[in-house]
Amino acid sequence: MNNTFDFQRFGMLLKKDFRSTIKQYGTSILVFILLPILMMAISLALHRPHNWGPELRVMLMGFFLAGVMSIAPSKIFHNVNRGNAGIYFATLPASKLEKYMSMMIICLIIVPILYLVGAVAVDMLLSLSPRYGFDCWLWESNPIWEGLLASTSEAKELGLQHWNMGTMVHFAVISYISTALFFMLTNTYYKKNKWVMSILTLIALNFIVTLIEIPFMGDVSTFVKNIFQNDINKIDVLSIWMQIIDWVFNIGIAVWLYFRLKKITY
Amino acid sequence: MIEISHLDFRYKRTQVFNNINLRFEKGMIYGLLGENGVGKTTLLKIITGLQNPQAGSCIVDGQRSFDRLPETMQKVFFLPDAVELPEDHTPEKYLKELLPFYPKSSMNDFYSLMQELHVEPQRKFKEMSFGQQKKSLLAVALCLGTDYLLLDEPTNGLDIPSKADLRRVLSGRINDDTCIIISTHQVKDVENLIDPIVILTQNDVLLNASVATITEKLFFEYGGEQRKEALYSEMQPDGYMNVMVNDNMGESQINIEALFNAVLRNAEQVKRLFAQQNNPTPMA
Repeated sequence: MNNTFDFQRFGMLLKKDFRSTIKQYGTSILVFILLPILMMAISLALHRPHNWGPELRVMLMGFFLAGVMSIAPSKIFHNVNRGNAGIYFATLPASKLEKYMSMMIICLIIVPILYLVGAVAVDMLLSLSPRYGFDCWLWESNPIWEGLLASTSEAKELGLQHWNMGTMVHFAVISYISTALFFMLTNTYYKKNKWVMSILTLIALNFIVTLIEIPFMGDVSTFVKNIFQNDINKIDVLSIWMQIIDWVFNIGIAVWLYFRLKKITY
Repeated sequence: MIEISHLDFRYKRTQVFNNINLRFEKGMIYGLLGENGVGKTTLLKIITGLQNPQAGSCIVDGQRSFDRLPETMQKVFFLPDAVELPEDHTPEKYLKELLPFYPKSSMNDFYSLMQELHVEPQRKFKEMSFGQQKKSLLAVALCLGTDYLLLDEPTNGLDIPSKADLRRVLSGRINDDTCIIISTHQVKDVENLIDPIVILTQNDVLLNASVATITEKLFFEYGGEQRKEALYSEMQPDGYMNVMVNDNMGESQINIEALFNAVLRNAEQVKRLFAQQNNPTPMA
């Protein structure tokens, strides 16, 4: 028997975790998907119909996606570190690597796909009756895409090689992965009020990082100003470094999560 | 075989085990006894790989328990005293989720066990009493076909007929390929079931011996007068029950509660008496 990774066993585990996802989190994902309808219904009921332009639809979708991904670990893998309830997770005959990968796939791929497919479907449904800003498909005429495209062509005119649509999408994807990984990690530490405690931890960390940054703010702003004024190619380098740092951060959190799962006691 | 060697374990500053050595072999139903807080549940958790000792080792069939390898987890099932159940599940559904991961499991076995224990497999957990939930989980545990079954207070919450059902079911399950370890305070519930008997105290193992060895070393006298030399005496309706060192007194019927009290009150003496007995063998 391969105690590290077995495809058949992993498949069974993923199937089981997928069923748990639908059972424990399916309704919540559905609520997020239907929230735009609810919001529209409320605004109509209050006789304040709002013009839902495509940019607002995309922004809301992005915002709700972050919500869905941040809450998922505490709903689906709620018992992963909790006393007697966690025994079931810990003693299931699958390797720690398989349990870890299943958790990653569920939280980073399955949950966002479930939400996005549903959200886009609802958006398309609302667009069938073109009113209040739902008068085009999401991808047709959208100031966000136009803005992004404009900024990339401007960047090309300035001579930037790496500031393009791919980079911006990349940054967006990295930030969603970071969000999910952070909440997955804090889920393995907190036993109660997991999501709230995670948010508070995030606030606390941001506060601490800001305190550390303040003494250097003056120097950094001068540095950035010099970059933009003196050497346009340094923006390219900066964007590459930012991506590298983001990936190092994500990989670090992912590795930390693996070792945390490996060493949890009950 | 489960081999525990030079095991040290503590929770923060509280030492639970200090250099203890134990061995659990297949073909036996072990009784794990001890006062509240001595670490019975902790020991079961260490064997299951749910806790990691600070020193020493716990090896299950050649594998370190805390590694929680799939191969080891297929062989060990731990049923805690209090289980948080998915309330909307039925025992049948609960088992079906586990079944693919345990190659020796059997649904047919489960249905016959549920019938023996008088619980409906399609009834939701939230509609069951605590005792019924417990029996359901016991049926699940037994039909998974694991080599080692660890039960923490299995008779808690069971009525008298259910305790008899439990004894019957467990005694019917033991064979050369299985080992059952029962941790309990309710020694009377499992009196005729457990052999060997392990008694834990703070940081130590006071006794680890088969019933045959115990009755060879100790004599249990019923209906007599209170004896000064007795390790433990207890007044009963028909006279005193005395536990004494067996000085060619022949065989006697063990009383586990009295044994427990005798061992606790005469720890050092009992340890010296049983010092040669490290590998208990089951009763013939």
